[in-house]
Amino acid sequence: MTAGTPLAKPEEAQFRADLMSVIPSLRAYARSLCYNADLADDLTQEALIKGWAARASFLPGSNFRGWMFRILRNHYFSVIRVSRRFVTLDPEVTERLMVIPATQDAGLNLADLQRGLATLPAEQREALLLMESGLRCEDIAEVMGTPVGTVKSRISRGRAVLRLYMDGSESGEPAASARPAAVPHVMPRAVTSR
Amino acid sequence: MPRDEIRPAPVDGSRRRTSRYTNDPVSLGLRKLWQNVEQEAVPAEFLDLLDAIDAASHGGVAIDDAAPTGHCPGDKA
Repeated sequence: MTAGTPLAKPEEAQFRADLMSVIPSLRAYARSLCYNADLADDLTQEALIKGWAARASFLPGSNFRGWMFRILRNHYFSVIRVSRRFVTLDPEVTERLMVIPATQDAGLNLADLQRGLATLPAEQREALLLMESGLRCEDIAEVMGTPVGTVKSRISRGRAVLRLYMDGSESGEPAASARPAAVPHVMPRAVTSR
Repeated sequence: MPRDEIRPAPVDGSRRRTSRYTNDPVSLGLRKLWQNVEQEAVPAEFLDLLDAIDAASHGGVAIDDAAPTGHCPGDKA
């Protein structure tokens, strides 16, 4: 089909437009989950296909971004369960979170922030980034399948750690009391060959 | 399909919210990280995929293995 050709069903045309608009956000979310740009794009494409296939089950007027985030997240965790590509998180590797140059940006030291993010438990990192993606705590809870209170707690704890890194010491090491109990669990390998 | 058609945007009719920590450096930094990825050019494969979706919506090409109503793919039963 070429651009501009009218679709047979207006709802499908709208759904397709919604899918198109959500692609950048899905890529960002996937990147934050798996730390790998190529894998993130694969996850995003799979989520788009699954979302399209399940379009009849989307409730018009509900949160489309949240719905698609949940699809992507479900797919990510189903992949992670079966793939041998995934290994224990290497904190040094994860400093390249989101795969962008870590530079001063508008007065923000993103390198410190990224170092801090790498130390957070995955669920805290995910909740923090989803919040800054524009979702409400209620939407994040829906996406992550957890109670709203848990989301708020994760955000609060994660922020406390990140604040230490942003404020902080040259090494970026937070105070012991604010340090997460454990380094994040299973995350995908940061560099894969394709 | 022009590549610049694909822009990050709220798609549920609501405006994108910003967190309540609007001017906090942590929030600003996280938002910046997120937005940097959102603003990257979308690879051509995505356009191909959308074309396939278009084709499916017109001719029933097999991209579609419909899920039951009320179901979010991957959700546990």
